[in-house]
Amino acid sequence: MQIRALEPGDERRDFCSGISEYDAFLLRYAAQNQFRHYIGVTYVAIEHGPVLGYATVAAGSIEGDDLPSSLCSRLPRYPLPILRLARLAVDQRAQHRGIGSALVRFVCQLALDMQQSVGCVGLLVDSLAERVSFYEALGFMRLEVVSGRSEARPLPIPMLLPARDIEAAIDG
Amino acid sequence: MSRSVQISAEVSPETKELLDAFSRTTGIKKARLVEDAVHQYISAMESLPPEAIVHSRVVISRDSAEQLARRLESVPSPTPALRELMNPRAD
Repeated sequence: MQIRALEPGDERRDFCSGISEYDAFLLRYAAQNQFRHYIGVTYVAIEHGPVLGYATVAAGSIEGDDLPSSLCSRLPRYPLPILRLARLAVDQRAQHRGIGSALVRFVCQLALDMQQSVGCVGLLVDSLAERVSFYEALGFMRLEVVSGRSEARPLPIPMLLPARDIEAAIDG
Repeated sequence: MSRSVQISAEVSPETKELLDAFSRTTGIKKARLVEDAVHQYISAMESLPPEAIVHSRVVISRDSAEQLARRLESVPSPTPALRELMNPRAD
């Protein structure tokens, strides 16, 4: 199995993850985001034929709302760079083969590459409610987002994993 | 539109009847109906709905910022699940 950036000719018409909104996003908007608006990149898991799974990421920033001076000394006053994992889905016919984990690992590595090349404090994931425990087990912390919350459906739960934890996981 | 060209497309009898009936009822020429429908369809397909947009700027609450500061100040302690994820065994 290969994970690479989406290409215009990738077969995704029959992609069925069980979440119709995610399937529609891959079919109708992922390519637009990537090739027309340049606001995100979708990485796809592929063997020989159609897309088996995908993860859509975009660079972003995170900052605190109305921070007290005590906190300003501990967090920089400027926005901190992050990588945002906006959507991840696996076709139902390809589930239970480790494709979802492979995509998460790939995106964690992307966050680490970003940290080392241009700066990145962490990976923010917009998690489906039923995947929160999976991400918590990986060390992601829940965030209360004041502005910039994803409007995807089903409404996701924002969670963040510091890039240095990913780095330590590989080193350790 | 400065000039017109003819197109040929096969549609179902039901679609043709729908087109004919709507044109008869409203008086709108079929050519105009087809032209408008194509433009509106493509425009709808190309515009991103809010749920498809990935916001680049995220502002978190004071409580979350406090937790994040604490997390960034502490020594990284990857969970066993994260270690396993990032160091897959080659079977």
